[in-house]
Amino acid sequence: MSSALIDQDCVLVDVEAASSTELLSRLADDLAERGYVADTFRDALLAREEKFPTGLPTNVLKVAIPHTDPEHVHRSFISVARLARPVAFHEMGNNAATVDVEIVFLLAIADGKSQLGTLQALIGMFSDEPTMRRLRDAADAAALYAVVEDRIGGLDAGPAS
Amino acid sequence: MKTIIVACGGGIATSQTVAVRLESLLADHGLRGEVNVEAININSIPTYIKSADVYVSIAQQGEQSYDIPTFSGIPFLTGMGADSEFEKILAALRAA
Repeated sequence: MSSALIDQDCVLVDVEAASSTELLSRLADDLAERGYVADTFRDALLAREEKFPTGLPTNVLKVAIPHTDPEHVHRSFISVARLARPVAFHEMGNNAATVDVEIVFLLAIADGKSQLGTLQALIGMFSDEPTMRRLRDAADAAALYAVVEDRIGGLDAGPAS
Repeated sequence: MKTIIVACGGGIATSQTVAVRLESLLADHGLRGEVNVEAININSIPTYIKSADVYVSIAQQGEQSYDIPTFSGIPFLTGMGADSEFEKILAALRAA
């Protein structure tokens, strides 16, 4: 098994979802089917998003970075879903506000310390407008994957599992 | 040594990332090694707050508030307003 934190199979464009709950459930179920997360991951993810929402009112492209506790994660992984139409997420640090999110980075993190370089690079993208425009304008999933991989690929090895 | 605590819901992804960003900004301002930045779980705040000079929050401010200067960590995730929030943190550290 590759130890890469992102995989082209889990970088999606034109994703349709009626709500953040529906979207996160589908993304979580996909990771569970791949064996990357425990069956408990989905409920833990939804509960965390409810209590500590992750929508960020970034420039160019609004993002959300849903995640939950490492105990539900078998193998660190990041799924990317660019949405066909924005989906409302509550705003991080301000549960009363919503953000119309256009791209979701689902973080399945088994060990925050060893994945810190990747997280740092990922979040660094959000304040880098040229990169955010490339994420917005990437023509298809392969192009989107290339932008993300260029920024965060290979920074941290995955766990040895 | 002055201490900044950064707390989020889990103490892993978000608070760690903000803590690293703050360490980097502190180093840029010649304060490397002079300020300790700790990423913690929000439930651990009561343990850490006594020894902290500044609290950077990523979670919603609940009913619970603390008697130390408190700032938002969100600008360090979005990049928007990060400079002005960091200036306020620096001022609070100088005053602490």
